[in-house]
Amino acid sequence: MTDTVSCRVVVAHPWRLAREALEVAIASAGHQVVAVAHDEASLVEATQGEHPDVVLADEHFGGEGAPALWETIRVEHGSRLLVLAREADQGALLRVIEAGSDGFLTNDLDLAQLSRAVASVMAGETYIPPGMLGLLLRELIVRRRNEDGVLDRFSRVSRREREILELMVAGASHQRMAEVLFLSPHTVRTHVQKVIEKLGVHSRTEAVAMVVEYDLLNRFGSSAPS
Amino acid sequence: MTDHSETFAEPRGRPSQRAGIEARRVDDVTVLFEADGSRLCALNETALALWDLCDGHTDPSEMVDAVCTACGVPRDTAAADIDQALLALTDAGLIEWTAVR
Repeated sequence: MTDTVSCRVVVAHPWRLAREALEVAIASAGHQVVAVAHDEASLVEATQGEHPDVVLADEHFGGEGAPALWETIRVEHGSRLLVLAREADQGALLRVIEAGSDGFLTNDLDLAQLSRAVASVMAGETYIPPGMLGLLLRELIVRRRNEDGVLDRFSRVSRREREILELMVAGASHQRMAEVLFLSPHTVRTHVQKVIEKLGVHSRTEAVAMVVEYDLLNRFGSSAPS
Repeated sequence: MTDHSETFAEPRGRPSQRAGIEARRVDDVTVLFEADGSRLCALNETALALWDLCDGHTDPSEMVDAVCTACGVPRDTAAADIDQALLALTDAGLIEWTAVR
């Protein structure tokens, strides 16, 4: 007889059929489903009320606010979080892991994998589906290298050029920048071109996109003119 | 034979897979074979992931950072585990090291 440590699980999925199927599957694996949730509010309520060991949640719970929701579940309530994705997508895996999930399950998982996943996260491990760890590590390394390159280029942007960049992000025209910074429009255009060159992009739009994506002005301080 | 008995406390360059080794999936396990078809060893998921990163361009510190992010483990734990895994692959003659100038 195999000894299974029975966990208290909350199942969160917007589809009733999926909730019911997961309930049966989790019970078959020797665990107890203490509550089910169909949306974010009921998930938070269930987690607060039941303090489950594990929360099994659909990847779309929380939407843009998923990281905050998952942080609440994990940090405030001490529950381990397994996210169930509808596709075995590398991008989804990366988003889920970076948002703080303890594990990622794909829609082709079987009962044995579900059981292993719950056991893994209960043991304090992170569960990543077989075959996806290598791709995930590779993706993380590439992203880190890209970010290091961006930070290196941004470090060469002068204080004045950061002022220009901040106004670019705000959507200011060259004329407006000239007024705010007490510069001539010609000088503003020169600064804008310098910023574009130093960031290694091809346009003002790309420069702004880079600043927003990597949150450069917030991370390294803006230089707002007084 | 090069002595790799010590851990990689100091940077040793970047690891790369020894030429001629082929990885094949056999019954849900990845097995490494020599070019002549002789079986070398089986790799678990973690070892396979690290093996795939041994491309001659990836520094072990990058592997540590990625494992920390992916698995949520402390850096010293990840570093020790990766150190050990790369040492095992080196001792088994599966990877080679290229010094970085």
